[in-house]
Amino acid sequence: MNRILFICFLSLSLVFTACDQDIPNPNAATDEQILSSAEGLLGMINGMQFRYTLGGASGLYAGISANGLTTGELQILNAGNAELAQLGNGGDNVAPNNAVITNLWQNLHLLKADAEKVLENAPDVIPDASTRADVVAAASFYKALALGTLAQFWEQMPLATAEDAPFSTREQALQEAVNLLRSASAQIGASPSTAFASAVGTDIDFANAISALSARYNLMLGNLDDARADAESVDLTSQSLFRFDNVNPNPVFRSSLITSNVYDVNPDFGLSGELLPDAADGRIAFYLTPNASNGKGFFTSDETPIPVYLPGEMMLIKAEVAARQSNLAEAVTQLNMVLTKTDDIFGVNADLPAYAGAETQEALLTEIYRNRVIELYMTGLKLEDSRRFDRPGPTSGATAERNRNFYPYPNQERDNNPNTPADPTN
Amino acid sequence: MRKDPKGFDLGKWGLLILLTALIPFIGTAQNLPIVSGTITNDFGDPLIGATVSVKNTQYGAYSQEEGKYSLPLTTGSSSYELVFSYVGFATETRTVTVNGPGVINLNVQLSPDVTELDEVVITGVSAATSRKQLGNAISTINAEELSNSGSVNVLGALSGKVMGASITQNSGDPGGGISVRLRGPSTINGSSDPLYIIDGVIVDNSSQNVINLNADAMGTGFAAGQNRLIDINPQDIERIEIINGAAAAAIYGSLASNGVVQIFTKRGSAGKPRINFSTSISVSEIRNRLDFNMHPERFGIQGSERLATTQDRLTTIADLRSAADRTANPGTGPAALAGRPLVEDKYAVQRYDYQDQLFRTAFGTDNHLSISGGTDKTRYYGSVSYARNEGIIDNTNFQRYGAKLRIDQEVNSWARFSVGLNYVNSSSEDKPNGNNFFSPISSMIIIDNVWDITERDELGNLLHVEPVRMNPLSIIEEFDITQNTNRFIGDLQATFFPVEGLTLKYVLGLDVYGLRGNTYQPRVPYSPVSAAFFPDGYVSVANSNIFRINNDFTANYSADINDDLTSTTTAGVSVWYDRSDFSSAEGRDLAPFVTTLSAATNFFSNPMESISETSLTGYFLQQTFGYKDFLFVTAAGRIDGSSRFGEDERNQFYPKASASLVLSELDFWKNAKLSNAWNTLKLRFSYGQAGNLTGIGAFTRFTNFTTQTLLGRSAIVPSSRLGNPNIRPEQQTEIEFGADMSFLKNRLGVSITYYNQEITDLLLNRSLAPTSGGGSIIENIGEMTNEGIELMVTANPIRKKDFNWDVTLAFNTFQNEVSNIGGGRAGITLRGGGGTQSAIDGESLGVFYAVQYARNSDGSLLLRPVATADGEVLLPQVERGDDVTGEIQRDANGQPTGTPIRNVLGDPNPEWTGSLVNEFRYKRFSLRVLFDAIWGFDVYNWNKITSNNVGSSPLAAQELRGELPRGWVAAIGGFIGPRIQEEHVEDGSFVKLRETALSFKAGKIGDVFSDLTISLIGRNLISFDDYTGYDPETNSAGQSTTVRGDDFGNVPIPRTYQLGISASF
Repeated sequence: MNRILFICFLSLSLVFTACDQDIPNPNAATDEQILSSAEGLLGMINGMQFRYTLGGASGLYAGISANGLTTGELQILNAGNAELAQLGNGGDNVAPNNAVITNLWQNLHLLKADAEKVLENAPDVIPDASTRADVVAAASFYKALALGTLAQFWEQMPLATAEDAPFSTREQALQEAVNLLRSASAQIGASPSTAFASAVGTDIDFANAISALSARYNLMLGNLDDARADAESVDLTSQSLFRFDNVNPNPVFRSSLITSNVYDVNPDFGLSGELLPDAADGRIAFYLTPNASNGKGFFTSDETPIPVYLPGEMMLIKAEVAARQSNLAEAVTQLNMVLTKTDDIFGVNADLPAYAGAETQEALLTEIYRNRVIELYMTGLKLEDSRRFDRPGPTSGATAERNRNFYPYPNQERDNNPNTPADPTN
Repeated sequence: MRKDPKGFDLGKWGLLILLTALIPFIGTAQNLPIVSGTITNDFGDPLIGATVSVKNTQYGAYSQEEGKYSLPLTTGSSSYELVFSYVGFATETRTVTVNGPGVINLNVQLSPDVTELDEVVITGVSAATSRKQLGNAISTINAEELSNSGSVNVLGALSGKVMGASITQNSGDPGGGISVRLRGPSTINGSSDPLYIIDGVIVDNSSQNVINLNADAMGTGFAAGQNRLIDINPQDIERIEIINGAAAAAIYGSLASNGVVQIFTKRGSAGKPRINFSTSISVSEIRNRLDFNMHPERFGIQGSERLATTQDRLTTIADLRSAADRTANPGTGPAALAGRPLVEDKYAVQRYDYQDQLFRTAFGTDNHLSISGGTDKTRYYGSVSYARNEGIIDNTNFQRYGAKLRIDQEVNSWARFSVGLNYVNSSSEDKPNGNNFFSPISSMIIIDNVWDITERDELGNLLHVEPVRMNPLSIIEEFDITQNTNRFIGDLQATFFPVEGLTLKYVLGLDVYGLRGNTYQPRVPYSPVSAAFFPDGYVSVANSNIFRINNDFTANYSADINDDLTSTTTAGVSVWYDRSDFSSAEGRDLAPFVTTLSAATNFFSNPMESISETSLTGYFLQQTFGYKDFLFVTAAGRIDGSSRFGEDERNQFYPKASASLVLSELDFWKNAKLSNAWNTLKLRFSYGQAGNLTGIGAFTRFTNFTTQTLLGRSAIVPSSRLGNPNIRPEQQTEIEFGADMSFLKNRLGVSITYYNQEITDLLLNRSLAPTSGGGSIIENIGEMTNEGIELMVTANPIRKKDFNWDVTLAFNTFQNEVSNIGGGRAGITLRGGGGTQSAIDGESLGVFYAVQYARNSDGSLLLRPVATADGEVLLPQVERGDDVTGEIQRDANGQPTGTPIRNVLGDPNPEWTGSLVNEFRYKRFSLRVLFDAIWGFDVYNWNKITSNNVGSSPLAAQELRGELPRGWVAAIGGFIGPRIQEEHVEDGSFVKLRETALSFKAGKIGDVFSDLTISLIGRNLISFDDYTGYDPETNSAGQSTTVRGDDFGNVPIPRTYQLGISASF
């Protein structure tokens, strides 16, 4: 019977009506694919720069903004930017759910985790020894940068990436960063391998940048001799830059300055009293005078590169080490290199007369601090400096030069990690 | 090399199509007895479109002109039970005896039944079934109820007509999106919109953002713009069936947890060609205008003549003068932003009501021509349509061309085919949506109303307004933003009746569309304008292509097991495949004259493409037993496998069970005296489970490493959201029970339903400790419940040949609660950019969680003394204490101390919705009046925040007049202490006169018109509400599931009048 026949046909056809249910994602690669290829790991070095430098949530933007608002470098223009405004108000207003510090914490820890993935897989997947050394050095650089930057803003942090990660002190984190940098410095060749240069580029001179970071963190640790040795090993004519373009714009310019509606610089770098800058200081024009787009300093356009470190920082490290070691003549010499500088590779030229103040340790350290604040304006280092130079803290009332010492741990960490320590009172 | 889409293999599908196409030609026709006659109502008027079918089968026919019908009897039985039914009338069953070939005459008169318990439905049931047998509630809406609604969007036409629904229009744009929530939200991550099926085709109703790429969407979860069901012409719709949740919809499996809306379009019927033409013109206007500050003064010290300097900004809340000016002439008010005292000086200004320039009277037209007819074997319906609808903002409109064809072919007595083709071209001219400060409404609200926005320079260019901001007229006149959709929806349906009681049905459904959006913003001729608004010009193009195909095969077998027991079995397989492809490119810094992407010289954002593919295969079985005419029991199950989930969790089982007991069919009832007054009582119960496929994207379960470009090199960035191969679909378990009753000769009907939905395994991004190597992970966490009652009362108080009065009253309650999602008192933030909406354990989804006024124990504001140069002022402040526990704290002076504490200040989900429809018919006139209420919900009025702070609001006027101390607005707005968000949460409850339709049915006029109807329609004429914004029915987050009740720069819903003529030839 015909009718019965086609019932059979139709029933049979049921068997065929099924779709493939394992559909790969054409839009993105998986972790297995990336971590098992040299190309993938080289791409991740660029990815780390991407994560650290781009956008309003990046470690670079959040670090510069938070540091600037906590230490009075910056002022809020429109309090509608509530998360930034909380940082400007400081103290209790900086709640553990603050988005800026949550971004800072999260993106630096993710940067650290990215670096660990590269460090873990590089030995197995990169056959060429010099490329491998370059990749390991670059990953070490970013991991150290993550740890060191975290240590500038928090008292404690985990060193390793893990669930319920235990916390270590900021000194341990800085030491870990220094260790990573030292080991990277020993491996890296004088110039990058062709493969590395072609995939990652040469905007960052990793050999010098690693020494510069090492000097910075040794200074924070109080390892004065090491800090001086590292600073001396940095070639002051070398440039290391985080570059930007239209697609990946300078985050401080794009997210804040150009809008004229978020935050802006404070007059006189936010300094007052004995620290007020000399009106003739050439750095006022460099850092505080706006261009047509309200850009300033290293944030004048979408394309303006941001230096990884400044030569002036190395000079001031040497000056500070000398001053702290009571080598006052050397301190004056190094300080004068900054004060009288007219040939800075980035144009940060104070162009002032040589130091004429008292040659006491206290006076010199104050002058070095003032110059760090000015020379290293909006580099994210002032909160650390303000603590290290023992400037008036948040409990000093009207004379306070910073509105917090350390940030509270973000809720996102506390809610998910039982090892999170108690928040600092301020 | 580019691979073919993996999930779809035409070879496999082609075989099925081929098989089903060949089958009908195997059989032959026979010489059969035919039963024919007329079907009339209780006044003897013919009923056209009534159905007659053989009991327990899907075999039947429709009555034609003059109520005539004709049905060949096919199976060779000696007697048949025929069922006659028509919407609004009680079903009649007649038995005919057959003595060989020939015509059997049978005329049937149907009597009215407002309860429509005999109405035949097919959504979610084993076979076409009368409502009486259903274990669940179902809403049906017919063409008459949809016509004369004045809405261009079919979903808008449903407002106030669906049991258990909350239907709201999210935007007053001419193609403004509409949200349909059946019994509340059922997911957080996904879409809470129901599954839409049109003539068997699973259609897409997504909201694709192709034009607002440069808008600040204020966080995730936004779905502004048009919802794509706008492509469907309401005039092509014959009827709509709606089931509200898992209990009824389990056999739709993992697509059905939000309920199912099944739309049936018009079909032809045998007879002479019938031409129907309808045309209408409409006029729309703003229904409600905002009050603005008209006080002729302004705080501050004038900076320049045309207020062009920074110090001319934000004078209500800030003092933005230079340091030198401030030293020379310090402010004397309380210290606000950056510690600067507010200026108490005032200067004279002219104030404007920009609404005069912003809104216009808009016109629209809607034209529809259809032709239908056919023979016994072949029937057709074809239509073409054109609708154009202007928005009340100049240079906005929506227009739609449509062409539709439906052919039904009876091949022989046991095989039928039906083919439907629908092509639509929808296009619109748009302006930026809300949620940013360059939508027409926002740009008006974000500036103080002291600039003449119409003033132009000698070249005709508009002039600047408040520095940084855009002149609203620049946006309206210069921005060119368009969308264009080409859509094809097609279906092939083959139905076979191979042996008595067995029906086989195959449906192939296709929904394919391409949507393109173009944005062109020329250079702004004045400065300064914020970089965020692209003063150097902006251009973008985005394309979205959707391809969807569904293949459904169902076998249905109905049989009488014995005289008392009937059985209906349905088994089916359903295969669904979806591919969507989105790509976009944008640029700024434009070359002159060119308006496409070619104009861009700065490609600040990389072009992007994203492809999504999903396949779904489901098998289902449903069994119904009927005992006599009073007890019906159903059990069903579906197994679904979706490519969105990992192998271990892919296949899910969704069960269902339901029962219906028609007590009034029992003899004791029939014999009781009561039965004269109380005609029907049916009790029903239903249980079922269904899933939600939209909770995650096609590839969300993977840990994705994204590729980016960095300075021309490839950068690989691991996503901070970690994948999770072990996630399962969200699952809804629903129980509903209820009763359907009719009284007074079926002139009064009452239907009541209680439902309880438990949604488990909610898919959410759980945040991770960043030190664990990720920012968040997608997991099945948390639960949600929906509970409520649906009550519908229908009555026909007066029924005479010349005068008829029908009343329908609907009342639905909603109670939504989220649980076990964690996050403590604050829960999980759902809305970025201020984070006012959250999912919190024990609260409804998306409550407004924000800071409030500090109050004294008597409820009055606890003001705080703030020093000024002229002494102290008392200003409002936020409540403080411990935000973790919610404990309020006071210092020694009785002032709040601690951190600002947040509390639940409102809920955007309604407590109840209701509607009242009165329909009067007097001779040839009819009048329908529909009141629609959505009650007990709150709106977050962002516009109010903005207009306060810039100084254009009535509150700012009060401060200017000295009725409030200087600094009051700044204190509320967050410039003296934190922003007091409580001020902006408002009750949105409203009752709207949703539809008013007066029609005159001229009937047959000469030999030209067989029918002519003239209608005058009003839509959204009046709203009764206490909301201070334009309209509480709005959502600038569009069709978002989580962000509701968000009023930020959206175009308000207009009031519309429409005059229409419909003629048949």
